[in-house]
Amino acid sequence: MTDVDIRSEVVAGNGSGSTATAPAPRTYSRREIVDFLYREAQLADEHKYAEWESLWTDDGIYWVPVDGNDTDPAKTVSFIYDNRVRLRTRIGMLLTGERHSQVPPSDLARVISNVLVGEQVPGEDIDVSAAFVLIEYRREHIIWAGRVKYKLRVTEDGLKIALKKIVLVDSYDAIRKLGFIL
Amino acid sequence: MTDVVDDLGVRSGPPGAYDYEDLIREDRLDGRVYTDPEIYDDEFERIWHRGWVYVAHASEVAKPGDYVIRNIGRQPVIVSRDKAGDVHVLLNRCTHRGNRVVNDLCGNSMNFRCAYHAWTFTNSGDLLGVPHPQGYGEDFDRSTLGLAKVPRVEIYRGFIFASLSPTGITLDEHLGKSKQHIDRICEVAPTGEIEVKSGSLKHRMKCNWKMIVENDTDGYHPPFVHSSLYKVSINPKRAASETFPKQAPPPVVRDWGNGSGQLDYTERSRQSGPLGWLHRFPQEVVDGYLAKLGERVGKERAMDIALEGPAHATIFPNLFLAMSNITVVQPVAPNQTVQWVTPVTYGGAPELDATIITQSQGGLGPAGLLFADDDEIGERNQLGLAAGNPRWLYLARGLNREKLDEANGSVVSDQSDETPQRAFWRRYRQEMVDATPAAHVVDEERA
Repeated sequence: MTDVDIRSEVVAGNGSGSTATAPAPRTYSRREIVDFLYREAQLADEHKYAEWESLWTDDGIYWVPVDGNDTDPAKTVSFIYDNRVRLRTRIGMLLTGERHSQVPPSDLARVISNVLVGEQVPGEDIDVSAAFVLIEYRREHIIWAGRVKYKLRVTEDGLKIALKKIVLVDSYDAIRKLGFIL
Repeated sequence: MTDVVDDLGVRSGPPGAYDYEDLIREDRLDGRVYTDPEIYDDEFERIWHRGWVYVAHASEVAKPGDYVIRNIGRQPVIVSRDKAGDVHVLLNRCTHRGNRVVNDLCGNSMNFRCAYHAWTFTNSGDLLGVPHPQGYGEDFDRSTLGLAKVPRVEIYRGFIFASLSPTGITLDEHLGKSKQHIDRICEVAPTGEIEVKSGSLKHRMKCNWKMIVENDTDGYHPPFVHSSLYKVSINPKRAASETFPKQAPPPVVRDWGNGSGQLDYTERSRQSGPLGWLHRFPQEVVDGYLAKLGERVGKERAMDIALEGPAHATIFPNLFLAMSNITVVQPVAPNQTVQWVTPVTYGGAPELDATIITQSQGGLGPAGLLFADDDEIGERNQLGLAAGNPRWLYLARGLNREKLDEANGSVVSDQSDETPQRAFWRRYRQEMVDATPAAHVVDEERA
């Protein structure tokens, strides 16, 4: 299984290479997209890592930049810049039960709001942005907050995350350990 | 007598009550060195505000006008480069009412204007002007009202060190043999110079700063603390094993004197081929790098540098050169520290930059596949130390087998031994015992 194979499959599914099995192009309602974000948030809050991982495309990027919104990930280090291989490692570590920063898992509850859904163009990822506030409880209450930008891809299996970029309000400052899924 | 109780419930005695030779022994440590607020205060007086501290890299203020703001111990400073190209380290406090003058984390300006009453200083600290000067008498002397300068600043191969004390040992004496760790990272660059331009990961940890420095070169913990990573990624056989894996050859630990410890992977790196310590690059990348480096150091030396790579070693008190990263600890409270992880770029080898960034953010920083777990363990260490009994932490591992390496003068031992930690504590004890109270810059000027 390689990124290239999956990507071409997805492109086919999006209608640019027509195949018999390709679903008819469709648009998603705002409600469907918001529900997708809520489901993703719940899986992350509840540490259902394998199900959360199944929401991703195979070329997905999970990104938590430092120093605001405008950094180039090839030139500036990020708190997290996971391709799917590294994300698999991150999730796999959590699944061992020996990722000490999440032993026991932090108690989490997040609120996602201010969802803006971009224009839907067949064959292109859907841009979605939102704000979030997350309370982590791990011996004390720790507040996480920021803006999230998604690129959601329309696939045969429904929406998938091709990009999740989380710009923390304190991205310029020192942050606490981040062993769970933002 | 009023006892001091910190937020972890640790009680301490009256100020000045500590005999550091009693608290810090060769084979054991009194647990209060990590928790006691009075000891923490003593450290500012005797280490942070007195001795040499790494503050920034010269490439962070590469051009005239560039500045960054940092802290030396508890004191805010500006690191600036003036129009003549000289680097200054200035106390970031307006001489009028004490406002912090520079507040942007970095920038470029030839002068600094205080936001409170608009007193304006050059970026070398001189007072340029004040609004409505007629409000002061004729004896108003601007030349005495410049920003205070950190009295001693020295730059070694781009590493800017500063001391808040006007007197004391030289930087060279402070570094001793640990200078070679700086040489080693610089030598990897074809130009012989590293640069800092890839940003930093800043990580707030709820543990004492010394615990982080000790952990940096602790070769005993990785199979246990990092077992989850070994299981899924590096080598499942290494995970949580009671015995250390058979690596050929295994790393060793070293005490270089002056408080410098090393977890030394050099011999193992040599087995991985040129640049193998960083990544398995395509042959043309390796050949290109060797050719560029060879122009400066010759073909044979270039191969050695490419095989051995940078060091994995600490420089007392706050610097840890973690392969291609400059790592710095900044104490915030007895039980809180900010650690900066700053990947470097090697001058003349931009083809390595992206790999260094990828590797740094993978393992290090607050979300790192390694450091997040070190953080949790450090936090639990702080929680455990709230227990007052036993008094001691046991620091004897390897005392029975460490030995002098006559080839280089370091003390060397098995990768799991506490030789580097003992190196740190020996220097720490010396500073805490020998120190006379620091002469603060501002106190000097008042005198």
